[in-house]
Amino acid sequence: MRYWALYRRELLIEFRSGVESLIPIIFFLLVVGTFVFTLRSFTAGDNRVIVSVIWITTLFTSLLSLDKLFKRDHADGTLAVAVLHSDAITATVVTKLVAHWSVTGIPITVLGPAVGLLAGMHIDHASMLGFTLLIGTPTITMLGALVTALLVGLGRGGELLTVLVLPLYIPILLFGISVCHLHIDSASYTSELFWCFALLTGSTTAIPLALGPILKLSQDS
Amino acid sequence: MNFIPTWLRRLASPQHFFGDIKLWIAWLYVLGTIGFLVGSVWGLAFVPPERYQGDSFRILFVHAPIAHLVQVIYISIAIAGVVHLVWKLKMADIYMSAAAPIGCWLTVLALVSGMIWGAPTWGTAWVWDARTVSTLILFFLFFGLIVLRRVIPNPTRAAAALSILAIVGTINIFIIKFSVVWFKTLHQPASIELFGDIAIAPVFLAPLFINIASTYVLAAGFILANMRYLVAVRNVSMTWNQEWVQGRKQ
Amino acid sequence: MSSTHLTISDLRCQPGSQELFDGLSISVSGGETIELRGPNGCGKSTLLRIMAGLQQPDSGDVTRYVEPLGYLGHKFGLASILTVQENLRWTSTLNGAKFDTARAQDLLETFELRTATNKLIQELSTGQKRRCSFVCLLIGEYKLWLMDEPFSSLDNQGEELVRELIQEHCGKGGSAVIASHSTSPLAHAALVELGIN
Repeated sequence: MRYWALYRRELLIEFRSGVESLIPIIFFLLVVGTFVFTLRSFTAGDNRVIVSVIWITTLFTSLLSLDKLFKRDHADGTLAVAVLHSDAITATVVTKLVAHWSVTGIPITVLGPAVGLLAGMHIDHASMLGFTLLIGTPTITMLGALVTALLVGLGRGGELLTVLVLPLYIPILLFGISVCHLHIDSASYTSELFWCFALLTGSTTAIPLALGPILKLSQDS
Repeated sequence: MNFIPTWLRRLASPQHFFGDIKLWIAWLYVLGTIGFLVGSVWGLAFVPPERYQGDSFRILFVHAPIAHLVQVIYISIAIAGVVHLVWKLKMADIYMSAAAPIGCWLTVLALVSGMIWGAPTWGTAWVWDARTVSTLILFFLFFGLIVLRRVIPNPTRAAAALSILAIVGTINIFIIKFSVVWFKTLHQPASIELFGDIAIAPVFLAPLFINIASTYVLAAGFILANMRYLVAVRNVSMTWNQEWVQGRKQ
Repeated sequence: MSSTHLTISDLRCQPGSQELFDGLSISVSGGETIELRGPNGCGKSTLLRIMAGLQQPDSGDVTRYVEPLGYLGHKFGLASILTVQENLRWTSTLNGAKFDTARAQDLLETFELRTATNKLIQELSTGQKRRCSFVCLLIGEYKLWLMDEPFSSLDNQGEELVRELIQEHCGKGGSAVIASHSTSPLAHAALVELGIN
């Protein structure tokens, strides 16, 4: 019940922000569109380029949106209140992350393959892309949230986040793209897919538990 | 914690560390420099040329020890991070701050020496394989640690943040390194795998091991010297520190 | 029957080069009101943040016997694009309590915020936001209140109301630690003078 109430609060905040919360998705479409348009002579015969472009743009989109994950709550003091309720902090963090994934991860999971189809991908390859994004985007949210929490209240912009987070995104990026490429090449991709699941499981179990103490520490400025 | 010898326990106090470690650093520098000179001269002048690569392989004696060392340094930072998170040991925090910039520079050295080696043997200075990628990522991770230390003004918070980033970064590096076999399709295969099918000849081993040991010793010296500096800076207001400064002035 | 809510022993805090406290020990029990006094920069806010656990001391122990703590800092702790009602609801969600609409309406009435119930926080004046954060504090049913300059941006009538509330809270076995610049001390408050070393 508590999770549901907290989740509704997060979604309400996103909803009230209105068009502002659509910026990451528009950014995603804009960047992917620009790439596919400028690379159209390369992508015509080879879907692998589109897969890589969509995956990398997903990373950048997450960076753009993660920057403000805790910013507003820190600015108005609600993060301090949440942190002091230590028995509810995990619930707060989990719902925040799920809400963030709902407004960026899910749309990207849907829009990524759709853009791929428009760019000429085969439906099988596009659905595999969607599937890897479905596994990959929560992992991306988790890792990004971890580093964002380390930087709460420092008043630093996204470029710092980029330098710290992108190296941590490399494994999920490699495995996600590998699965799609192997699928396009009709090769076996089981082990890569298991790696994706391993990263998903590892990050979604460990990081929400670590975030509470990290956020508490981040109040100390 | 009675199993820890007294001399080591003494080093956990900033004052004793500052006094005691000076002699250590001097010895490490002397030993490391002699060892490195011996190993390098041996490797560069007295070892026969390699069968396939001729003389260009000789950079191995500089490249391989450093490339190996930087990974050990990064992992040691993560271990110090765990120690810091669990036991709140101040020295672990100082170790992390001291080792990160040295690791970063050594990673640059490893990458550059690798490129110098790669250019004549592979025909290209850069190949996207697991080893080069993981070293490059390692450079970014070291850089991240240094930046994170600088942007967080509060030392307690900075130390915790560094610990967490180092631990996650280590997991990251392990995944990248041990997934070599998995992402075959992404990289073009290396033209020559030195440690693969072609086993390393015993004649090359002696200078290589001398250099590996010397780079460890030298790096330990650098890191301890940097730690000594940080200990002094962080305890500027302490009486023992000011007394030392007074002593130097006279 | 009074119980200990929070103890601080041998606290030392030295942010930067300036030492704030050295060997400070305070114990807060139920029914007690403690007022921290001292000039700007003597560490009143820091001490409250350390008590709350939002900041770490250099050494010394802080033991909290009641959790969670009600902390009222310089920021109001209210989400600006949610309404007053939604913010109150959130506070009771965090405490795992069921939201008591009637009680919330009563409290809003006391603080003259009844008409603002469905207004967004960002539409309120600073004084109204301050009042709203008191309502949150009451909805949260906290035993120990930590308040940093609670009277700032309140009018005379609001300040009087808060004084009464603190007295009532401590009369019912609660406790409060208050950092204040107000000229008149709180009723029944133990004063702790912090100085600059």
